[in-house]
Amino acid sequence: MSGDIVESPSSVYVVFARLHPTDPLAELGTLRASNDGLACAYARTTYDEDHWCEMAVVPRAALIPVIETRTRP
Amino acid sequence: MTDQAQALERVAAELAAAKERVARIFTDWSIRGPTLEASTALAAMAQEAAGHARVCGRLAGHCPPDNLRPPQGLTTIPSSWPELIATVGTAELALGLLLDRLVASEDPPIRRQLAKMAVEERYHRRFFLGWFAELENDPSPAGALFTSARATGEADALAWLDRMRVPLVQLGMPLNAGDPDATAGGPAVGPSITEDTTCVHCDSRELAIVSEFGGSLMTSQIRCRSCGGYFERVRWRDSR
Repeated sequence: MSGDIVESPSSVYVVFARLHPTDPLAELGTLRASNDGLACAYARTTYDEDHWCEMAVVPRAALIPVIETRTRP
Repeated sequence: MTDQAQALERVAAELAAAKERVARIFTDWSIRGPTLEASTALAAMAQEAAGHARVCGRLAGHCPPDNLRPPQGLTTIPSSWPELIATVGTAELALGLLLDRLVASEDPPIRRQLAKMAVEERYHRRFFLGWFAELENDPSPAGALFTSARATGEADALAWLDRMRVPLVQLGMPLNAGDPDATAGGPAVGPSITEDTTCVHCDSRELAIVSEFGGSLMTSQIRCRSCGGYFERVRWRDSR
């Protein structure tokens, strides 16, 4: 069908939020979106389980590793 | 009833009728978006749009439903995702423009009743602008379908906004800088960036116009100097 969407390469975003201003910003989970605007829109609706006072998304690729993932011996 | 009260009821009734159509379309599409995130967003936006219709319905009072005509693009369920984004997206931008005028009202009860709706509408705008950015650069047939449907959707949305001009002027909230009493009420739509324009991504006011015309005649493309994000803003014909 001519209107079929070929999903563009999407990035993984990590979603953070806090309930109260004094709470630490906690990781809620991840989502896939193809641009920052969509990531914001999706984060609000996907993680709408509480009355967050703050929410933010970060592209997972922007995280700078300090300790690389490693398996225990 | 004063002319102003009648005008408010008329505008609210038009918004309610349009929002009810938007809710139906979002509900229909909420299980067949291209991604799980997109479907989830539509399901949430459907609930919000239904709520918006109720809020506006209350403000509409006893305004007769005769002659209420939502933007043409909302009268049928779009048959493809590009058409949904194009037609409902442009209609939502137009509804948001009208809502912004009402929220700028000096009447506290109106502002109070519409405040939550205005916040939610900003997220709807973000959703559609995000998809606009995806589809307008899509070289596939889906992109062409989007471009074609968007042109039609914008013509419908502008025609709908045109019908709101008279009641908005009566309310002292002109949409158009060229409207007769544009200096009497709230801010007229003039330049693409006004004092109250903020970045849709980070709320910064550090903005620069990239292009007076965005993907279409109806919008301007703006870049945020703070976060580097791009977004489009609905403009009006008489803006510079």
